[in-house]
Amino acid sequence: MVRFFLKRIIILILMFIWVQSFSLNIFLLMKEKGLFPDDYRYGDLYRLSYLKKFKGNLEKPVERKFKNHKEVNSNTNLYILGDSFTIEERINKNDFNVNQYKQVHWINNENIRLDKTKKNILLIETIERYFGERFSESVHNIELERNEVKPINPSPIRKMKYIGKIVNFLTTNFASEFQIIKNKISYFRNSQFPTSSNIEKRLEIILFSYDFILPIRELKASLNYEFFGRVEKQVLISKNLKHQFFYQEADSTNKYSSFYPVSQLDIDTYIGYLNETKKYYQQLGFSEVYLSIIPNRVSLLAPESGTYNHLIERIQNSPNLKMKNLDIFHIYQKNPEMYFSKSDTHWTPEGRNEWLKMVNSELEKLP
Amino acid sequence: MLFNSIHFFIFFIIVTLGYWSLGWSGRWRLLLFSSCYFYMIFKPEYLLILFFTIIIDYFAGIWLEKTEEKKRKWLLIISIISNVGILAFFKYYPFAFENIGNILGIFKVKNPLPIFDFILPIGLSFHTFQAMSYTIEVYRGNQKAEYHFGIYALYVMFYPQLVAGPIERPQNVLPQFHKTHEYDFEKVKSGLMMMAWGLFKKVVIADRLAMVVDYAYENPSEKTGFTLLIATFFYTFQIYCDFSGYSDIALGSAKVMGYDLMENFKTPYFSTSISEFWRRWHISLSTWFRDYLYIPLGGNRVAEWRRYFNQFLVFMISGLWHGAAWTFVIWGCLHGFYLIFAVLRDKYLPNLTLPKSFFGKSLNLVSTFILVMFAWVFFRAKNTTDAILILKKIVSFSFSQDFKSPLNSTEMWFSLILIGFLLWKEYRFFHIETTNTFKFYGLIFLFTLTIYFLGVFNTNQFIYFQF
Repeated sequence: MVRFFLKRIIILILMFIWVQSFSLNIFLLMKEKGLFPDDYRYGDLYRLSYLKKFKGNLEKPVERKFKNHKEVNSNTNLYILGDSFTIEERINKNDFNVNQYKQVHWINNENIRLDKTKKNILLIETIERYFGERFSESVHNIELERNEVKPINPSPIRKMKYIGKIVNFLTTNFASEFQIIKNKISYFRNSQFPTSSNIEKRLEIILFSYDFILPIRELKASLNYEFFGRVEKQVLISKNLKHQFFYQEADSTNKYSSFYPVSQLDIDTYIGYLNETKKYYQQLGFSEVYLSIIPNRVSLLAPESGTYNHLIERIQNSPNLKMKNLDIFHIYQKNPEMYFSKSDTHWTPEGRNEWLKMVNSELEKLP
Repeated sequence: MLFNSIHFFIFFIIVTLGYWSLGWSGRWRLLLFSSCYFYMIFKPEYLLILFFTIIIDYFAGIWLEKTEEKKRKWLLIISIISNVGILAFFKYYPFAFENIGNILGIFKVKNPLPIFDFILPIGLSFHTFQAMSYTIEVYRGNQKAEYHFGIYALYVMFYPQLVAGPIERPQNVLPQFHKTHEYDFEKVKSGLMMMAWGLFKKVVIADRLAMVVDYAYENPSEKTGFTLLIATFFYTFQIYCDFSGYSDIALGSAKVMGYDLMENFKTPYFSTSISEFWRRWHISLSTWFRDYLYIPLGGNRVAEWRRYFNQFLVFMISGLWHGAAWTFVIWGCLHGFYLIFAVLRDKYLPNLTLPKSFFGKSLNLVSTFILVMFAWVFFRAKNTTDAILILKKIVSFSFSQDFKSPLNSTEMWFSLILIGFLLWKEYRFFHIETTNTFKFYGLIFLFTLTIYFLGVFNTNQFIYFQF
């Protein structure tokens, strides 16, 4: 009898685990409910390497400066085209002295409606390693909503006229919502479709990211590192053994790396597309377009690891660049270890605050 | 899904526990459903191709049994052509397209064949051969047609051996699917131990050696002969541990549910001749070719020169079965040549045959190993140019040359120790004894620890999945 129930209980538990790994929505829901821990809580680099010496506790977001909206400058709307540095969990409206705020991720395309009675500012933020990829063509991730209604051809069937009207009504009045759904579907389709490898990654998170299991993973990582000199292939350790980096930015053979050669022709091409992007968005109605390149950790913490290509400086210092630039590179250069987390590819709260200070100070200068 | 994955671990436990909770009719349904899932998780569309061949051969088997003698041969031919046709289209079309294009290019003629862009369905070569084995055996009268569609589908799709064999015979497997297996704890222990050993071979040995092999074979022009020699030596064990590891997991997971699949490997690197090697390596495939190609071509009953020709042809086709590339064809031809040379040597130059003493046997073992190892160069190299370059460099290597490896010296020595351990284990005992339950649990625990802590988890696919 015991065996009878035990078999069935085990099957049910495993099926439940399997369902969480198979369905992305259920996985995200269970993650939100706290059924299993956040595997990024000690840093995305630690999550790859499990090396104890590079383990850190990611600090929670600090108190937002502009939560009291009475003091908010009502004249400026801020749009950010950015990546994981400026996602909702890290940066939101309460961090800026602005009337309206929106962040669009690089992987999405979004239609917005500009309030032409306000100053509309576009800030294009990118991490250094993906700069080349993002500016090897002009940028069109953000577009304006189209107000014109496409005429519906009259249908001989009476019903179609009403369906056509309903469709028109929905797509005209809920265009941005449809766009959000479309973006989410495309994001999920591209990165989270239940392929075997996605299921495997989710199972690893569901089953093996608890605190009591981490010491075992750290022991394995340590054995590989100490005896075999090997770490997880997506991570590289600096020559002085003090830092770990994401392989893309530190492997000189990788095109995203700080040590991958960038020719003057490449720089000129990027500048060309940056200028084209600025012109395009100003024509759409943006008052100003800014560029902010967040440096790769390796560019600041271990630039001697290879022949550094100085991409950021070459772009920022180019006399042909017409887009206004917010230079965080030189601020971070003064004390990189304070501004970058040892266990994560992203900034610390101090690094984040310096960037926000820079952006807000620039916004305040606007007439 | 890969056998060396958490996904398979969860899948295996659910299916096995479910299996032992159901009666016969529930069991075959569960196995069929889970086999469909197992296959679909690679790419759902693959299932359509698989079911297409299942339907053809299911009906072919029934009609073969019911049809009069004259028409039976034609039915068999149609069934074989449909199976081989699907295999040829998906696997060999791009190869044919490229080679026809190259030949026509010499005469400045445009390639008339259309371009198709598709991915080879995983395990196609294996389940195609297994399906053909069924219709041929029905034709020969050695097997009754299977009228139960679900059982027949399960015969082709049984997940442990669906994507990389062993290529089973209907006489072995079909009766087992009709039987209600009683729970046998000894079989469960034996099956689990086989799976543990198979996983150890795959993730601790094969995937570790793969790092050196991939590094050396990626750009052989930049590597020294010494590096390539070590890499080739490692590849000899990588492919064995990878493939036999897969087979062990397949056999073990079937055994846990009470099914006995055929052994696919019997310590092949202890062979003292090439013919013996092929009686110990990928046994299910070599016996398939013997029974369904070599014997129908005449086997040993034909004239001597014809026999050699048939042997060479079978090995060449065997090479082509492994992959649509000239390197695989050359690999197969090499083995054919080795075999024929050995036969001719024994017949016409008996003085060259080594004595059956310990010294003679050892020398035979080493020479067989070296011949097999050199043939693997063609199997692994990206193309024939690389293969020839690698062989040239190996032949002219010297110990004074640099040896470079992505593994540090500790891990290199550890890899050699693992190879030594593997050979010792294979020599000492074929299967790990599991009758002592306490020892069984202890070994499983030890295997679990070593697989986790020493395993290389780069989600490397099994080599034979590409066939």
